[in-house]
Amino acid sequence: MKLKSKAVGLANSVLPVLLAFIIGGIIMIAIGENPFETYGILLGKSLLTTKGFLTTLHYASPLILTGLAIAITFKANIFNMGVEGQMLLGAFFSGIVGAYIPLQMNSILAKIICLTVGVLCGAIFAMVPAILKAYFKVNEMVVTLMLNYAVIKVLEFLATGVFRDLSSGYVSTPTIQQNAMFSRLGSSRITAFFFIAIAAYVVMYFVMNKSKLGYETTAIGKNLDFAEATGMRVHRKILILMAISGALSGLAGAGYMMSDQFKFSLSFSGNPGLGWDGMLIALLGAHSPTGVLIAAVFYAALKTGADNINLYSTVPKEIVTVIQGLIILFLAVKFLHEHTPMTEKLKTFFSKIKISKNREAQ
Amino acid sequence: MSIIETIDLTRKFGDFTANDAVNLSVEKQEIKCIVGENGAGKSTLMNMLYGLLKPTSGKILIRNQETVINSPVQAIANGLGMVHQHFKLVHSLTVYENILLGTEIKKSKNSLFIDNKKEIEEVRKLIEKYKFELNPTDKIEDISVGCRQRVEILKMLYRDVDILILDEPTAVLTPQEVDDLFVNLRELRSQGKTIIVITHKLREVMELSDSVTVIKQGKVVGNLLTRDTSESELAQLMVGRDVVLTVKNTQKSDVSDEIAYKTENICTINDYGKEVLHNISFSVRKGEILGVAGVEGNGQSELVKVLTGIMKTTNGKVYIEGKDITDEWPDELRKDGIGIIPEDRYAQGLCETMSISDNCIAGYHNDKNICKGGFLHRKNINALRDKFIRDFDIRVGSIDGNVGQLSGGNAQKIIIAREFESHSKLLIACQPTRGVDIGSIEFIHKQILEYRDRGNAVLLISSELSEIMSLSTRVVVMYKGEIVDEVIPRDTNTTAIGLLMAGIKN
Amino acid sequence: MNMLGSILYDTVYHSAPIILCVIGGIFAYKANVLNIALEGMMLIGAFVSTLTAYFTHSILLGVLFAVIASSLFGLVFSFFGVTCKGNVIITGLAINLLASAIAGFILIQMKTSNITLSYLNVADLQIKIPFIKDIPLLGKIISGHPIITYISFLGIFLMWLLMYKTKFGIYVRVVGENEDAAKSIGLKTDFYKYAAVMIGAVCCGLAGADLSTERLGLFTNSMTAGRGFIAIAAIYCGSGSPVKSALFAILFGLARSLSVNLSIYAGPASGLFDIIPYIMMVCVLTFVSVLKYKNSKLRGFKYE
Repeated sequence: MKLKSKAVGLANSVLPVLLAFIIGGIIMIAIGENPFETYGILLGKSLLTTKGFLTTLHYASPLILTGLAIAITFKANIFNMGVEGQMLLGAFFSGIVGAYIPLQMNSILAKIICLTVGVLCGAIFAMVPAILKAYFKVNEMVVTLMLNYAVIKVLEFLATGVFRDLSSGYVSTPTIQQNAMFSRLGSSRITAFFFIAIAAYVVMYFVMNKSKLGYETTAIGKNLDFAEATGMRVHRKILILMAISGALSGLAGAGYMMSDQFKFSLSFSGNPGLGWDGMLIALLGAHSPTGVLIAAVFYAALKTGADNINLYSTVPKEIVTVIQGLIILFLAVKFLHEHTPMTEKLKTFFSKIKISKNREAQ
Repeated sequence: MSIIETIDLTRKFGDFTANDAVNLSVEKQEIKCIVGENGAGKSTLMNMLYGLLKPTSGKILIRNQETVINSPVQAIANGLGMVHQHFKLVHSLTVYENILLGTEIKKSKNSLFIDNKKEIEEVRKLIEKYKFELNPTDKIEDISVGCRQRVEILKMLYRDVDILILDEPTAVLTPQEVDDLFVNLRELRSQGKTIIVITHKLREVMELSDSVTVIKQGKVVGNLLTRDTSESELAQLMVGRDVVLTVKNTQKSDVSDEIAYKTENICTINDYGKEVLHNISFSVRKGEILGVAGVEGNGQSELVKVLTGIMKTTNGKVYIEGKDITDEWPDELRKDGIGIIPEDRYAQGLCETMSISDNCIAGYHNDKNICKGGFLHRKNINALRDKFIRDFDIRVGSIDGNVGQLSGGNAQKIIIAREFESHSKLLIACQPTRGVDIGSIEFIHKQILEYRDRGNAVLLISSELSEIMSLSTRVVVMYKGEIVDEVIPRDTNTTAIGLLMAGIKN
Repeated sequence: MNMLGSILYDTVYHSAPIILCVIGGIFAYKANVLNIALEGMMLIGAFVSTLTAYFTHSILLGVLFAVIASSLFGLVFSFFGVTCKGNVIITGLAINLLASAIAGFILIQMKTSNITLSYLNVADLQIKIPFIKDIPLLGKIISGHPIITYISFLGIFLMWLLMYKTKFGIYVRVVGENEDAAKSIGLKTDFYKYAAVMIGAVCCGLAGADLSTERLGLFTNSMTAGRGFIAIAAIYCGSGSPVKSALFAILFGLARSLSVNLSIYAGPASGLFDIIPYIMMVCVLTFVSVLKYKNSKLRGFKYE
């Protein structure tokens, strides 16, 4: 029984992706490109070569974190849409601190300081919607969205004004110091940050699956009245979960800053943004830590591949964003339930095989 | 002449047969009651008659004509109307808007706009015809439950139905309102209508009906004339064995003088600022059961919410064994020795989509042997679950399954097992046997009495008057958020309490 | 004095698209279908109207195709959210992303990052009402807006009529408030939910056309900047009533107008003024919430 429900869950994540790919392929044909070739480049270069795979893991690092950030709140039906803003805030200030950190400082200490700044920024910023929801029952979805727009404007302002790097040709903050940068391991782009992301995954795995907080999170997501009536003090949990979410987002931003971008620019987060990528990943992974891990790697493969598409074909990489939107759309619907006719047919099919096998054995 | 007949009417849901070859016959201008346990299939049968469900097989005959009913609209067209247990009214609309819902009167044939004046007039005429007492322009959210029920009945009468089905109509009425309803139903019968009442309250069956049909596990097990039968015979048919209708309640030990639990002048308000509890004061002694009687909607829900920590007071105090626990949160209350059987088990007591073991620890998941250093001790949790299943005879399909698979009675047993396990000193039991089969009702009542006999205190809140009367040592009656009076069950009767429940004090 | 007139004029200017989204969106709200795709529908309306006008030089066609495009999105949303019973929040989010993605994709195919209607002088679209325009102050506010702006304010009254005085409006509210009751009188609940979403889609399409083509004559991919979500906030604050929610929309328009007009005095900090509307909506939401729950003694939360 459990195996079947796990298979159904897996199918519910895989089918939308397949459907989206098919539609993406149709679009590609419409603009005169070969979808198989394109998909081949998309996934081949990023998963099947060592260098490509390691680059994929590198890009997956912040995504694992933003995915976890979304997953932990969405599991409790708290819609923290502000992951993007929390991440950018964490990235920005860890970048500023990293740019002014004394060069002589111990390299590990420098990194710890920058990461901590990022984590704190994200967590504290997330407390604004958290407190509003916990104590004033304000809907967090709209508040986090509004704050996203606000924080992006503020950071834009800071990056073009006070913290601008005047030696740079485009709008950006100063590059962070050497001792704050994560250096590449080997010839690929992967850095130590990847292992920090993995560590976060391990911690969240235990928290969400084995801890009391994870139990309460699940209960809050499934039945709010039940959670409150059994003494889970939902308002406190909202604060805790949002803080964790903000911290993970801030960590994602800080780490991405320190391992990839090294300065804050207006295109820091890419299109549509690491936070929104995290939303897709959390949905694909059904809000479970392991699901998020796998989905993050898969999605990073898409992103790495998208860069390659630009190099090796004429399909614009914007197609990936379209596919992303389609995946989310199809994910909204549970295609297979435990009781759909199709699963019934499969069940009878397999049981018939079993019966005939039993007969053979006799 | 039978006005409605079903021939071998069957309804299956996958492998489960809810109605099995039901043969039912209702005479014109009679009042028939359909009785059976929860889950026996009464509602399924009526839903098929009303077009909400399609029969798997079998026939329905209305006025001797075979009829297929695909929707409530068709049922009404055939003269068949239904008043559901959970009213289908729109609270922000008025009485007349609800009655005319779906058949609005427009200003002119092609106009887009509704003729409100004409609608109010039509409804006023209807109200007078059947001698109901209602104001057409009241909003549903502002009128009493008894009035709402009358709006539902009028909805059907407006559409000229001859056959009226009522599903558990007395669940939300005071004894007096029940009497008024029966008067209205008899009046309708004399005006030519046929009435079918679904109920599990055998006393009312004996009082109101002309004939009874008993349904057990989807099959008809008895078709009798009311004057030829009795409550105990009906109960025996419903369950299949002799049933103890009221559990033996002999006070095993004397009620001590020590006060276990006390409330003083509790007040609270609803979202609109209106006071819903006013100066509620009572005390419960060790070894005693204090019953709180009253029709639903007179503040019992709010009182339970306050005493279980999910609602705050505006005034007043609560003490357990002398300790002030006013406005404590649910986890603090449990630590201080309060056990809780909540009013709505699936909203506040259990999470249907979580496993049985996860539900077994709910409320107590901070305990030392359940949770160590923030992590849950799965082995201990599973052991606890197994213990509950054994000691309380809980029937489960799969031990790893969700609580949603259990029947109402078994789900309630999990809550009881959980709250008893915590060795609480006061049990707040709210509607403990609602939606529970008769066998489990016996079991639960016995458990509550045994809990009391161990020297603990019980606060019993229930809208089932018979339950309150048979279990309680003393009873307080609530009306409109206040305690009207206190009585001793031995020394009073249903009529007297009924008056108190309607707010009439001698 | 001039400044005051300018602020008030801009308030009308900036509220109009929000008002349109609001009066369209209240139907879905009352039908209990949480439609957060207003943003995406507005964006695709903006994009398609500008794109069409670019190729055909016809504003009318632009508006028409904008409404068709946003209606298509409305259909997709309804299909996945209502018929397939999908999670409406995720569906809405997907629609928003898709609108932006599709617009971006087509822009790249056209090898440009925005569309400018260089043939058009938007001042020509503004209607100058004969006598009114000469009234001091009031004339400056009421006259001189393009047509969709006027439609949006008229629409408040029209939608009020539709919602409270017609059968359709009552049925939409019944479906939202008590779906069981609706089914029991034979209402096709899915139809009313679709209809509610589509009204919202059409209005958002118009809003998008107003925002881009009518007022600015150009399109860039992030120009809606959260207006759809502000409309949702306004609907919440007004509890779905056309007049109350529109008032909140006008409040936003005022905030935006203030931020635009006052930023001239702020010098380098002028960029920061852009955040005023967003912060204001957060404050308004908080204030409304505090008022709503001020008497509530209940602990615990509700699902939205």
